[in-house]
Amino acid sequence: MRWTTLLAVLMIALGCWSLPATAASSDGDVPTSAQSGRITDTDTWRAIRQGEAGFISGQPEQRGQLIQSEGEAWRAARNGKLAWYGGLALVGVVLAIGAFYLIRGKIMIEGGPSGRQILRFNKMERIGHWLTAGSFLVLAVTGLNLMFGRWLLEPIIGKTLFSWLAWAGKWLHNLSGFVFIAGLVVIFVLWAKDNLWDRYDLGWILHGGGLLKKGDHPPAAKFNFGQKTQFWMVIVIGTLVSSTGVSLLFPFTFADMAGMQVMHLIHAALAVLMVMAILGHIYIGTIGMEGASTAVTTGYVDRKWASLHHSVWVEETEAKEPKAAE
Amino acid sequence: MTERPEKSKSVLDRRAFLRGVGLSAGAAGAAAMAVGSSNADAKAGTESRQGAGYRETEHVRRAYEAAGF
Amino acid sequence: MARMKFLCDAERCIHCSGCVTACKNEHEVPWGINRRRVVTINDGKPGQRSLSVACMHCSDAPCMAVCPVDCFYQTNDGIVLHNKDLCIGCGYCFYACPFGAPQYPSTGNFGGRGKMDKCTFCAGGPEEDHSKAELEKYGRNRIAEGKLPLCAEMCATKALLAGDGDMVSTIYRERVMARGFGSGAAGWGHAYGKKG
Repeated sequence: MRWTTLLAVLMIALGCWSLPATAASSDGDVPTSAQSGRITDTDTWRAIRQGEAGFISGQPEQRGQLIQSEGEAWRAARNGKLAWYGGLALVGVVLAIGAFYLIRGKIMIEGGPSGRQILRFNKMERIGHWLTAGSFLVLAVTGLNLMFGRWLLEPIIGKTLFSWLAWAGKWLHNLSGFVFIAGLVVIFVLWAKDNLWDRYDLGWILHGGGLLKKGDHPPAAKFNFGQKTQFWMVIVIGTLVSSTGVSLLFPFTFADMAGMQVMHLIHAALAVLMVMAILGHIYIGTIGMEGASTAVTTGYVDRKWASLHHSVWVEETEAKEPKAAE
Repeated sequence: MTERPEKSKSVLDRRAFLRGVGLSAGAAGAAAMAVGSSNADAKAGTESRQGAGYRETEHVRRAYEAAGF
Repeated sequence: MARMKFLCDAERCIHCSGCVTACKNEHEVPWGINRRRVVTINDGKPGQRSLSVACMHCSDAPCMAVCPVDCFYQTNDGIVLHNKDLCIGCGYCFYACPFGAPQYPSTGNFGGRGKMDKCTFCAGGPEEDHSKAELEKYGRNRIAEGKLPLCAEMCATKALLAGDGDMVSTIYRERVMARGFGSGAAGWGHAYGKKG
């Protein structure tokens, strides 16, 4: 008697899956355990492995994702391709500049400076340059530190000191990003019109910018084609690096996990490109050429230098204001 | 006449540059050597921070037993 | 050498969130941070399953690989721990982690993060065992006390298993044999891979 009661209770309890089972067996099709919902089928495991998100209570919805595999790809790209090719490219550029210096030497003002100064960049232009350049130097150093510091600097200075440096660098990086954006806006407004293609550019390109041969000075207006390339590189890559940077600064505000990973890689890869180009810019503006650096410090350059490198600009300026050159 | 001093100046520049390269490489090497020892200390420090670690105590054995029901 | 592992049995987890609560209480985890979480998939549908997830203490830990200040270390028991004094809150470990384990108290400029917090397998941190500093930064060190992670120890259905990887897999294998179904272990292969 008691045994049959127990059996009845069991049958009621198991009713939920004994019913479809009997229904199925009537036409000869026995359901598998997976179909009955008793067993976690392989599709469920595969879905979890591929990043299926589930319901989660009391915690942010994004945490419902159990496994995200994109992080593996991000890690592989950052620690692999980006670190290696980026590092090699930077070392390569430094070596190339060194080789160029050894072969070509410092580009001197032929016949020596004239002693007469001419205003090349006014105060606003210099401020624009240094807003961009100053913040870029900070951004580049702190950014490269995050990328390579663990391998290059940390073994030398130790973990504690390096952690402090990296922490300070992170703050500086976050703050100077905004200065950089301001600088980009200023130089774009001031210089965009002077950086459009003009009829001297083709000649400049055909002469290789006069870099290859001593005494070769293709005519150029305020900016030659090399400077224009540099300018648009800074504007375009700078804008991309800035916009990805701002997105990284406000994590998950503008993008999800995959977006953050991709933007980080774009940010880092483009930044490496930009550092490479700016290394060349710094070289030719300082140790690579006599008389160039004062254009962005005092604003004045030697008239002789200007007439060699920017002959058209000198003519135009002096035609406009005959007293510009003093 | 004008060519000569210019050339010698560029040669001087080149020498100064090379000297600079050599010096900085040497300095970097020296720095690496000097801090090599302190680095070893830092590493040893990291490895010694292991704590007691896992031991199969009576408590742990009972936990395994309970999990096996 | 024992290799510490977690395993969550989806056939047994009933989404009671006892593990999450126990963890939070044991370690006095700060506001807004949960080292462990329970996720239900196919919620309300046939094949509904719940899983409890935290840091799996991977063999080849991605967080460890991408950290720019190298603040992670792996103990002899395979437990992945980190040094909060070194952490700069960059968030890279969170981008790399397959299990979404790293959590950050949001302090700092803009979307800036504080120092990362994650499951320690109840093994504290680099500070001296049972010290006040360790307790405040990382929580209790049950491993040094000769115990196992609290989440697993107090799991009512024993869905969550933790401990020596060999013991965990033996218990799980015997359980699967006895009941005759349900042998998937989410994230197990992903976390411990070929190296085991």
